[in-house]
Amino acid sequence: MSSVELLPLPTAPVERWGVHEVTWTGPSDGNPFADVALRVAYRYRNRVVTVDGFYDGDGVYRARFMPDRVGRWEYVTSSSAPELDGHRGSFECVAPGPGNHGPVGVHGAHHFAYADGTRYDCIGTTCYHWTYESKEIQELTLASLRSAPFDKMRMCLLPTDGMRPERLPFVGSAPGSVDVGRFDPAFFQHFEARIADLLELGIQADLILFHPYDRGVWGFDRMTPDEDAAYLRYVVARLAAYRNVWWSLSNEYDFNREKTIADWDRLLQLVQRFDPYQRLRSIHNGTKMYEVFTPYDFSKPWITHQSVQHWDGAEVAAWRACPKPVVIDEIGYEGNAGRRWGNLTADELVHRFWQGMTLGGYVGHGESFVDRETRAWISVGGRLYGESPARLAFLRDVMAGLPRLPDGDVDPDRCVVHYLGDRRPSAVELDLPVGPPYSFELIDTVAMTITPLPTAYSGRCRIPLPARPYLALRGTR
Amino acid sequence: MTEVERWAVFERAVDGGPAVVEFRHESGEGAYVESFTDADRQMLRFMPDLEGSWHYTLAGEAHSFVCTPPTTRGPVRRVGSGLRWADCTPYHPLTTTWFGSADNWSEACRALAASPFSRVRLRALPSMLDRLDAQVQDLLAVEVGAEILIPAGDAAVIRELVNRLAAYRNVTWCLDAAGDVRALAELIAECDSSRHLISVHAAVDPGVPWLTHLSVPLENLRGVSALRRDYGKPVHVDACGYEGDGSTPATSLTGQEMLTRIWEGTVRGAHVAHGEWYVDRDGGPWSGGGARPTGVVAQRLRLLREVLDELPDGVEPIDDYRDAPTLAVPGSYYLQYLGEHRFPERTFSLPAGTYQVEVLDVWNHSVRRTHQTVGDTLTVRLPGTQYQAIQIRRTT
Repeated sequence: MSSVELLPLPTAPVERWGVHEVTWTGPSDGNPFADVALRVAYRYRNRVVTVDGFYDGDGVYRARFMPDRVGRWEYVTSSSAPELDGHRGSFECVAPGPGNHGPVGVHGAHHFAYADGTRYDCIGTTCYHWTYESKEIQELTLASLRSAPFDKMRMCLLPTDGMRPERLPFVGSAPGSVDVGRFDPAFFQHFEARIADLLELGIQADLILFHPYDRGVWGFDRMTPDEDAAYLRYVVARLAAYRNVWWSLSNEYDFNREKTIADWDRLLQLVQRFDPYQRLRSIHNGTKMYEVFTPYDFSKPWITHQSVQHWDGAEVAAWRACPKPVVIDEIGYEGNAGRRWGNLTADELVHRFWQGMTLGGYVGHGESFVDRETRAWISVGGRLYGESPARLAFLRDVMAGLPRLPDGDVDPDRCVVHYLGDRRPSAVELDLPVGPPYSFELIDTVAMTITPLPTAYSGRCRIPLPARPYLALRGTR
Repeated sequence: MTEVERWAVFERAVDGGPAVVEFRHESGEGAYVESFTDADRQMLRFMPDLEGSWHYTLAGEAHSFVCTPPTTRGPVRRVGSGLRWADCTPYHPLTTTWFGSADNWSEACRALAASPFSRVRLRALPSMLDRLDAQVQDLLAVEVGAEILIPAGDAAVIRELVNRLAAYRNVTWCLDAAGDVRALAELIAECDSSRHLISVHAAVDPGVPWLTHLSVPLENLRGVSALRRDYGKPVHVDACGYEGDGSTPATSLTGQEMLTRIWEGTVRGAHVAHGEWYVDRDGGPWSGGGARPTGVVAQRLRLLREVLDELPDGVEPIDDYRDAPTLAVPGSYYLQYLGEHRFPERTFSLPAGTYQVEVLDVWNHSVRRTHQTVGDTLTVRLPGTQYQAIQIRRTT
């Protein structure tokens, strides 16, 4: 026998950062979700990455894995069920295809980049329950996203108290008759297809794993620690291999009175333990818009970035004291809802974006028009009606074009950006770095125009302005 | 046919330039080994961890060897939040710190062999990998583990280091927190055919799955309990200070303080490293590369060594006694440490039975042993002095 003959036969090649999936047949009696442990150890050279397999119904077990090195990967299963144990296989990981930049990770202290080094812009939006809508609305949402500037989507796995969907992550469809010890593979198969759709559009899926809008109706906000752990383990086993997945442990975590900070610590740590890739991981606070602000302690090591709800983009400067990217995922939504969080003008929303992003943070979009053909975008997706997306596309382009330092911050020696806000000054006094003068342009964030100014400036200077709001100055040299 | 004992070193020279070899066990399990440069020639080293036949191809030619049953317990593996030898027996190291280079090594190695320590932290100097290689072999011969501190820096040097040392079963890796820790940890994992334990000293996030355990500097050893809870991994306290008379607070701990820190952390479930820094001792401070430990703590750790060697399998920290750290196998074994506090007595709730009760005077290195029959509670009288531990073992 030679070493070559002992090599497991390879299956079809997989792109770097793509998904390798294997399927086996195993026990279907009892509760396979709880009774059967399946782990798969993938090996590149000597480095082993171990993932949880999962039960996909009808006696079918799967494992999903994202290879991150080009070359041969081998795998071997270990399982409590003899028929799932000791299976070996291999595949070749090949170079990524066009548009595949790998997963997004933290870059420097306050920014993001794809694994291949490409900058990630991070202009997100929110459609909490778009995957629960009709097929037509879901397709409409994807069509809307195709022509929108957004590269991240915040979306929930679990339904709210008022929803009565046909399918849930768990088996059962009516409050009181759900078995949280069993998962519904069909729900997840559909959900995964939507994550893959977002991936195709270059959009990160920021998955909200818990939320407080259950209020005990389904009981998903007050499961036992073991039930929470089993849910998280199953979700991570199924979804973590998709390179566009992020974990948001909870929306408005502090509005769930059934859980303590210690609970959230534990649940975040569990996700970290289950996740072989260490996808971006955070937890989002509530504010009742302008009322309260009790963000989670983002300095805890299991947090990768600061997923903040707050109304004021100017606070970014203070939050940057914590060396993790600041993402104001909810800053208020453009719309005409009956609540303060959902009836901002486009001017006001885009103003808040410019404030936060010129300070080195990131801001998320949302829209809540309640009297149009499709319901509020933040809840169901559908169609976008507002004026902010076009202006945010303009903002995204401006931010992407700024010269940056290796850590991702704007390089002040080459470029200054000064956002002038919602006032209408006739001139502004700036204290610029001395040395060669900066050529200035006037950016109109509403009209989306960039106009060169006739004079260059450096040091202490006074720049005349047209006395209207929502302007920015960009100086480059 | 060549025979190699399980967990021993298969080694051979290769002709020509650097070589990469895939070793393949009869089960299908594989390992990847890169050669390293040793005095102008290329060497391959590999530690087989499965018995039976291993095959490999070198320069187009098929070779094989047979792996025979072991006579050692193998390398150390992480199992949950504990450490075990590869043969599954529990591992309770007692570590010291020796950051020297070459001077004093032969005396230091002899001192280690005669000491209560079973593991030593060594610094890898990129220019002296052959010296480090010899030191690791010396330590292997006296069954002492070698924690290799790898400085942040050149990936090529780290690759050479790992290719050279990975086949020694007594090695573990500890990275510097500076630099791209993930990239370095993955590089080491790719090259390390023995899959040794790996940590980052003072890691920003020790929870990542590519680190097997925590390596932390920690002065207040009460913090061990929270670290174990938060990360569910083994905890090594690499640096809790040094017994000595150095010029910094960290290098001038009294013997009592050093000893109590090690006991406190150990009974909270960590592995706490010893260090010693007496400036003017013969050969210089022990932890700076001296000839032998000369302080009072190393001797007194013999008692801890005895306790560690006799710990029953499955022992874990328990929360039942909130005012004193306690290791236990509930119902059959308890080890409680009372630190600087002078309790007159301690009471335990135990199942009815007969127990051997020991009061260990950790500082004075004395043991008072009694046998007691218990209904439901046991009260242990104490001398009212500091640094006492209580060990209770069920006999019937």
